[in-house]
Order: sequence, then C-alpha cells, then structure tokens
Amino acid sequence: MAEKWTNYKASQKLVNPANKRKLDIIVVGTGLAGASAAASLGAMGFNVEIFCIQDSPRRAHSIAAQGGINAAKNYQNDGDSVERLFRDTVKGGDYRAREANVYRLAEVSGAIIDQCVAQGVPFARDYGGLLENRSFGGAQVSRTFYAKGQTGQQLLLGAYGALSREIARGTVKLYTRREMMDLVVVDGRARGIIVRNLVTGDLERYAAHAVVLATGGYGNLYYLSTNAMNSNGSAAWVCHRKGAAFANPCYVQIHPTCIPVHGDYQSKLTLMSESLRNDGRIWVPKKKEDAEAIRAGKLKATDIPEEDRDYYLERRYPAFGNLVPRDVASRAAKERCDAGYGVGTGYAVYLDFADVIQRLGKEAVEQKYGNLFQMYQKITDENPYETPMMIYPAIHYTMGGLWVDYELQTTIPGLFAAGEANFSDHGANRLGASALMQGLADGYFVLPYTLQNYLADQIYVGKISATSPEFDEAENNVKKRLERLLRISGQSTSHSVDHFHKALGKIMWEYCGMARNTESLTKAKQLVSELEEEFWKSVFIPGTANEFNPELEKACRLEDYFELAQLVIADALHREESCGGHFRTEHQTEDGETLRDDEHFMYVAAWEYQGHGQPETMEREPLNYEYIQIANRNYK
Amino acid sequence: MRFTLHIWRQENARAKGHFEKYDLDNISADCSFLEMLDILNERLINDRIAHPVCFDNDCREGICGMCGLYINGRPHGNDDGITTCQLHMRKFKDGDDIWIEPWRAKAFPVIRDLVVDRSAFDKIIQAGGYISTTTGGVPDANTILVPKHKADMAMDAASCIGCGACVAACKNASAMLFVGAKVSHLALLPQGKVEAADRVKKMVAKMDELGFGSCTNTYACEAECPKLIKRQNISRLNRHWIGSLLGRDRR
Amino acid sequence: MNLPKIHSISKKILVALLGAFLSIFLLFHACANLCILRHDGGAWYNAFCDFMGTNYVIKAFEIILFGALLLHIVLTIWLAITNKMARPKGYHKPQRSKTHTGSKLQVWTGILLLAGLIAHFMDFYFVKLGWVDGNLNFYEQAHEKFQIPHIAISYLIFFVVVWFHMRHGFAAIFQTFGLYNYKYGKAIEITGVIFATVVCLMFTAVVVGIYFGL
Repeated sequence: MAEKWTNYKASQKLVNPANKRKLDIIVVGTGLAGASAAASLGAMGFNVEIFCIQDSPRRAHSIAAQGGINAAKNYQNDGDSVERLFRDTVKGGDYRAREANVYRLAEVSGAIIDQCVAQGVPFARDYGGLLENRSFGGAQVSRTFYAKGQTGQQLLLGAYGALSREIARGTVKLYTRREMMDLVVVDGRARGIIVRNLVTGDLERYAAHAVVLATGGYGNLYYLSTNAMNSNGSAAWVCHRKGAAFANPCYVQIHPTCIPVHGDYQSKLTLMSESLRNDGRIWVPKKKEDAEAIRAGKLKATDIPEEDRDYYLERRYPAFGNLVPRDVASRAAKERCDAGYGVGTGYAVYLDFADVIQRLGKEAVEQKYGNLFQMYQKITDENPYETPMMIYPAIHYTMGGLWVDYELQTTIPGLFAAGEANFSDHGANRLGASALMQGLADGYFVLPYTLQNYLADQIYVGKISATSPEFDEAENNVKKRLERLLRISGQSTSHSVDHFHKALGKIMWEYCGMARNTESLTKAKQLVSELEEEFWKSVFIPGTANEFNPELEKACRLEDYFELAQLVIADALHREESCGGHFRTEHQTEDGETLRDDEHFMYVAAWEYQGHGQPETMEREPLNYEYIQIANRNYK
Repeated sequence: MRFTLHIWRQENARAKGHFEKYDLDNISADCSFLEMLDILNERLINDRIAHPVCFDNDCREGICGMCGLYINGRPHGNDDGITTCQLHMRKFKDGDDIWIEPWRAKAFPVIRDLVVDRSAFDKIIQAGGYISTTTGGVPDANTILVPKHKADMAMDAASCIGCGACVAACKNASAMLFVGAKVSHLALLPQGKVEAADRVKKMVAKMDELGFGSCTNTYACEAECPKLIKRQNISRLNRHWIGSLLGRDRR
Repeated sequence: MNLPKIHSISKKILVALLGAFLSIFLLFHACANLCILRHDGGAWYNAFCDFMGTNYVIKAFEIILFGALLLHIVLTIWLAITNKMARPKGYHKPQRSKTHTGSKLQVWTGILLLAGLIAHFMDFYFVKLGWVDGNLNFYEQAHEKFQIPHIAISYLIFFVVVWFHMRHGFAAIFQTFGLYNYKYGKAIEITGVIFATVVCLMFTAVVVGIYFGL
C-alpha cells in the first residue's frame, strides 16, 4: 500500500504536451483545492475554466482557516514521519478513512510546504531563518506550519497567485460571480455545467472534457456554522442528483472553540483557532452553584479559586489534555454544559490563558495569538488577557461529501471532486490543520496526475459542444426551477428564505448535531419534511431571475439543503454506532466515549439519489485495513 | 437601540441611484453591523416594502475581504483595524443617523446598491503579483532561509485582504497601499526578489491603466486598513519603482 | 482626455524632486535675506543682489529654477486632475478618516503660494525686470514695503502657508523617494518640521526686524 501512489504514477496514462491544449477542464470553486488544481493544470498546458461565486477567487472560504497546515517534514526532530502522520490521521478519523488515500496524503504533505514556500507564503520562521512549527490536536509531535493566525489566507493567496499567473498566461479563464446550477452529463460522462451569472441573472453554458468540483462542504446546512455566508452544498448536490454518489453525509465536524451564540439575529459563528488549545486551558466551575452564580452575573470567572475549577479535559484525558481531537473536546464541553456546569448563557465553557500569560508574559502571548485575541475582543467586547474567553462547539467542517475513488473521480466518469467537497481522507473526524493539507494535496499533487490519466483517451473526442440537447435540457430545467421558486411568493404568511434556513438549522443542530439517537433523528426527519412543505407554501422571494438577486440564490441553496438534510438524517439513522463526529447516544462506553461497531459498520456509506422525496439507496464500500492495526481510539 | 439609516439604493450599474431612508428599532448593541442590515432586509421582505438591500459579505469574521461599506464617512465604519462585518452596533449611539454608501471609485463601479465590482484588484495581481512557479520541481522548504524580521514584515504586508478600503478612503481613489503591500510581501522574501523589478513595473502600469488615482501621501489608506498595513509599504513600492527605472535587478 | 503616458509614480517622483530642489533654493534665499538685518545700509545685501542679477551662471540657474517651479505646478495640476477623475462620483458624507491634514491642504496651500509669489514678484523681481515701477535698491525697497503694516502682515501669513506646504512636503519627499521606513519614519517627520520652521523663521526675522526697526 505504501507504494501504491508511486506505482500509480509510474503506470498511469499521460497526455502529450501538444494535445493538452486541445483538452478543456472546468474547475468549480477557487478555494485551496480549486485554485491549486486550476493553476497546476493550467501550467501543464490544459485549457482550464474556473468559476467562483464571489467577486474574486481570493475570497473562497479556505481563506478563513487560521491555525496551520500539517506536513510530515520532521524539521523538529521529534519523531515525525510519513508513517506517523498517516497513522495519526487514520486514528483521528476513527478508522473510517480509506487507508491508501490517507497514506498518499501524508506522502505528499512535505511537497506542499515546499511548493508554498516557493510561492512566497510567509510561514513563521525562527531566528535562524528556518521554518517554525507548532502542535495541534490529535498529535504528539509539532508538525503544523503556520503564518500567524492566518495560515489559510496565506496558502490561498499563494494558490491565488499561481492561478493569477496562469490567467495572465491565458491557460486559465476566470469567471467570477457565477454559481453552478447544474451538471451536464452526455453519454454517461460529465461534459459541462450550467451556471447562473449572479450579476445579470443570465444562464450560461460551459462545455469541457472533464469537470472538477471543489466547492467545499455543506456545513451551512446547520445555518449557524463557522462557514462563510455564501458557502453552500448546492454544486455537489446537483451532481448528486445527476447520479454522483454521496458518501458518509452524517460525518459532520463540530469545532470545540467557537464564540458562543448570543442572540436570535446571529448570522454565523466565529471560530477561535484550535492553536489556542496549545496554551489555553479549558475549564468550568467544579460546583454547580458557582456555575449558576456566573450565569446570573453574580460571579465572574476570575472570582473562582483554582481549586474550584474543573479542567475537565486534563482530568479525563491526561495524555493529550487540552489537545484532544475536536470531536472529543466538543462532546466533553457539551457533556459539562448539559450537566449544568456551563457558563455564559449556559452553553459555554472557559478557555483560560492566565497560566501562559504568567509563564511567558503578555507580550509573548500577544505575539503568538494577538490577532485572535483582538478578534475575540471586537466581537464580545471582553478582554481575553484579563478574563478567560468563553467558547462553545459549533459546526465547522463536513467530512462527508461526494464519493470518490482513489483517483478522486466520482461515480460519474469525468466528474472529479477535491477538497472538502469529497469525502475521502478524514474518515469520521478530521484532525486540525489537515483540511488545508488535503485541499492542496488534491489540487497540486493528485488531480494533475489522475485527471491526466482520465483525459488520455479523450483526445479522440474533439471539442465538446455546448449546444447538444443535453445542454438544452439542463438549462431548461434550471430555468424551470427558478421559475418555480419565484412563483411561490406566498400570500399573507410570507417569510424570508433566511427564516426557513434558520429553522432548518435549529432542527438539525438540536436533533442531528453533536449527539444523536433514533428518537431525535426520527423527529428531525419529520420536522424537516414539515418545514419543507411550509417553505413551498409561504416563502417570499422578491425580485426576478434576471437581476442581481441574493434572495433567489439563497432560496436555491435552501431547496437543496432540505434534501441534503434528509440524507444526513438517513445516514445518521442507519449508522448504528458512534465514531468520530457521529455520536449516537445509544452507542457509548460507560464513561461517555464513542463506541464503534467495526464488525457491522466498517464501511463507507455511498448514497444514490432516487428522486425528490424518495429514500436514497446505499452502497457499501468496505474499508480494509491491511496496514494499520485497528484499535480503540484512546487519548487518555 | 434605534437608528435612522440612509442607504444608497441603485437598481443596477446603469441606474441613477439615490439615498433611501429607513427607521430601525429594537437593535441589540451586540448585533454586528451586517446583522443589523440582515434585520432590515428581513423587515423589508416581510412587509414587502422594497427589494432587500444588496451588500457583499461572506466570511463575516474579517478575513475574506468581501464586505465593505462606507459608513458615516469612514470605510468599514468608525473603528480601527476592522472590516465592516466586525463592526458592532455598540460603537454607535442610540438614535444615530447612519449613512451607508458603496465604495466610490472609477475602478470600482457599482453593481447594485452597495455592491461594487472589485475585479480591478484581480487584474493588478494578474499583472505580476505572484512568484512564477509551476507545481513541483521546487527546492526543499528549509533550503530557503528567511531572516525572521523579514518574514514578519512580509507577513504583515501579505495580510492584505483585498477589500478595497484603501481605495475607498483615499481622496484620490489610489490603490497604492494594495499594490505596495503585494510588492513588499514578495520583494521582502528571497524567493520573490528574482522578479521584483519586473513585477513592480507591471503592477503599477496596470494600476494606472485601470484608472486608480495616485498617492498624495494623505495616508487615509493606512488609517482605514482593516489589517493595519503601514504606509512604509508604499514607500517601499516607490523605492522599487525607482530601482526598476534605474535598472536595478533588471533582467 | 488623452494625456501623454507618464506613470503615476514617476510623476510623483518628479514633483518630489522639484519640491526638494525648490526647498533648497528657499533655504538659500532665506540665508541671503538675513544680510538685510546687517545695519550696513544694504552694502552686503545689495552687493549680493547685484551679483545675482548680473552673473551669467546665476542667470542660467534662474531659468532652471523657473522651469522647475513651472513643472512642479503643471505636474501637480495634472496629478490633481487624474486623481479627480479616479472618483467620478463622490461620497455624500465628508471623509472622517484620520489623515495627514497637510496633504489634503497641499493643493490649496500650493495655490495660495502661487498667488503670494506673484505678489512677492510685484514687489521685487518684476521691479528688477522693469515690468513694474519701484526702487531698484532692494535693501531700501524691502524697508519701504515691510514698514507698511498690511504688507508686513500679508508676508507673515505667506510664511505660515510656506511652512505648511514645506512641512508636509519634506516628509512626503522621503516617502516618495522610498526612503521612509520603520526605522527613520519618525525622525524624518521631525526633521521636516524643524526644516520648515527654521526656513520660515529666517524669512520672518527679516520682515519683523524691518517692521520694528531692529
């Protein structure tokens, strides 16, 4: 297995340089995966067209990743290796990831850092001018490279730079403020897309020999998440409708350190980087009456003496302490809050920096986390240097996504999925600083090989025409869909799209969030169908389809979320075990840890669309661990 | 809290546009500025008063650079080092009049209401705001040594989010801080030195071509930059420009 | 409008270069003026004026100086026009950003300076050229003029405007030449204030000295 990627590269098919010009590739999304793929493919000589919904490729939500990117460089001489990163990632994913994919990811991780440094990404350096590392959740080595608290931004700007270069060279064409509305499949192969020009409302067709989807995850299904407002799952979902299988939708990552919810009007949750857990200590009061007094505003965090604080992560997981993986930390916070020890509104715990400030001094802490502290203060009006931060888990990342094979190809030939949009590498839980690694690995080092392998025999096809009946049909369907939505415009009971989205998010968070069980999931299923019905009766979408109309965009995305929600629920219902981000209360150990059922559920669940309102069918892809010894996931 | 909003409404790029007045009540002080606009839009939809106000926004945590409103005479509103989405209503007084305008610049035409087209920034970057690399074939990351203070300065310059507040604030709608930040980021690193002279020429030429004004050393850009990027970067840009004219590092 | 192509930064660099040149000239002019304060009946000062008015090298230099001044003005106006064009539609609310006021005033102080300069030429330079009537003995001419209160006061106001223009200009020159950095930024600004103050004080000393007969 360790040689699989090397062997693949040695035996794959190639396209000769003169023929590359004749092959067109569509890339949807300009985040780390999309931008890096388009830049690499463009540089190789393919004709690339790239699309994004924002006004510039640099706005993709990869930009918001704060903490860092993992790579098995072992620059710190602390025992890291490809092998170690591979094992940590598989274990972090609770043994639900595909072994060979993860190994490849670990294998190319070092090259990503080389690539980014060559592009001018200003990673942190030590005084000798060498690269600096820090540690992250789920690992006992320091393998995370970072650029202040803005690593995602810097990596994306690196990829954006490479992309801009290709645009200037003419190998890549950029289309901004375009939303993918449908995938066009001709003779069983992905041959193009229909997009809506968000400024004019026009529907446009683009044809190509292959389509790469790098459109991120569907975390906004929960309405309140750390995703950007425009992040959505629709591009992946329309592909699913067209036949691409959707894998493991119920694996949703909940990030432990987010600024808690504070009001109904709230539009999104802000993440506080996981790197804060390097130095911050998480606690709640030991005594219930203290917690109550804090909630009532009678006591302050700093009033609680040391002996009355419960550093519950250090207590429960002495080996990893505050650096346990995200799912573990999130559940532990929920457990404390549900037991009545929460602070703030009752749904928050403290993240305390008093110790490290005392140890290293305020300035050193400012150097390390200054921008995060400032961000926290701007939002909450509290000074984290003086009083502990309040944090609570929030939806952050979706491990599930379009099913892809080793080549990142979906079940529709010619349709590839990269980055968060696919399901492949993180299993049931993603480790911190691995998303950036995966996005760039897919874009820089996997797709350029596997796409070439696919395209090798496509040179005989010739230019793909965008006037075929398949394109007509797809465009007509989109037109009809928009008309249908605009026709609803309910009477007196009209509500905005956001109203329904918020309601959907609440249902999902409440009944299909951090802890799930048969009862809650069955209820969620019911509530979502009722809400959907209500939506089709009384949503009000102002304006027309032929103008800049954000409400219509939101409505389209929400329409897809209703179906997606049902699939997430169905997947969560069927998976009668707890693993990683998927926690079924029926399946837990005595001390509240996840309880896997390897005998029955050691597989990837790949769902196939059967039409609106119809239950989807599931295919199982068994996970065979040849290399790794399966064990209990223990961070104690 | 209660506010009177005066918002620029413009149906499309060709329409004339005007200010519209809206009264808004019951706003929590903890509400962010964009959430306040969400609430306004919710009311406009529910009461079917008008088409909701269009404004660009995305990450809502101050990093994507998508949002940008000119609020009461200041880009990103009355606070330092923040984007519009990080502005909170507690920064206003109860009963305040709030004037909300789009970025104004020839290079940033209005698309609708408060949404402007900032693709000019992309074009400047495409003119040369990168280090020419192709995927693979690069040396090991630690073979390139970068002195820590240089790396830190490069990072400060690189933290630009491309929101356009510098252009919006500048009395000349100049993009010098944006260009200066990118030129500085790359020129400070050994990797970027190779193309430095060429880069500065191309980027400045593109900036002029797109109709941005020139710098008259007012430093409103520095005062309004949400990432606190310093004017020293403009100075460095000028230095490199002179260098490129005199043939320093000429290829 | 089709303007010949000089890149914006190059234009600025030229303006700054000419500004630096003019500043040095002003310093020179101010030093020379101090001769008036000698109670020698104008012997030194008139000798100096005579030298300035007859030496061919100086005459050549005069042309360069006026060329520089003219170019400085033309380029700034050109820049001002292109800068105005960069924002065809302005803001409703006036700008409230924290900025260097000197820069926003620079165009206006520049225009005031031009007006002041013409008035100054009417008193001295044009007399020399014979365009207007007046005393060709500039020592006496200075004494005549500066003892009239409104003229003396106008000159003092003129010097205040010069101060503002130079104070901003000095640091701006360094910025434009790319010499303004993290290390010396503050020092440059302080030096700018000192330079402008010293030059203007030297000019003021002459006017005040004559007015009070010191």
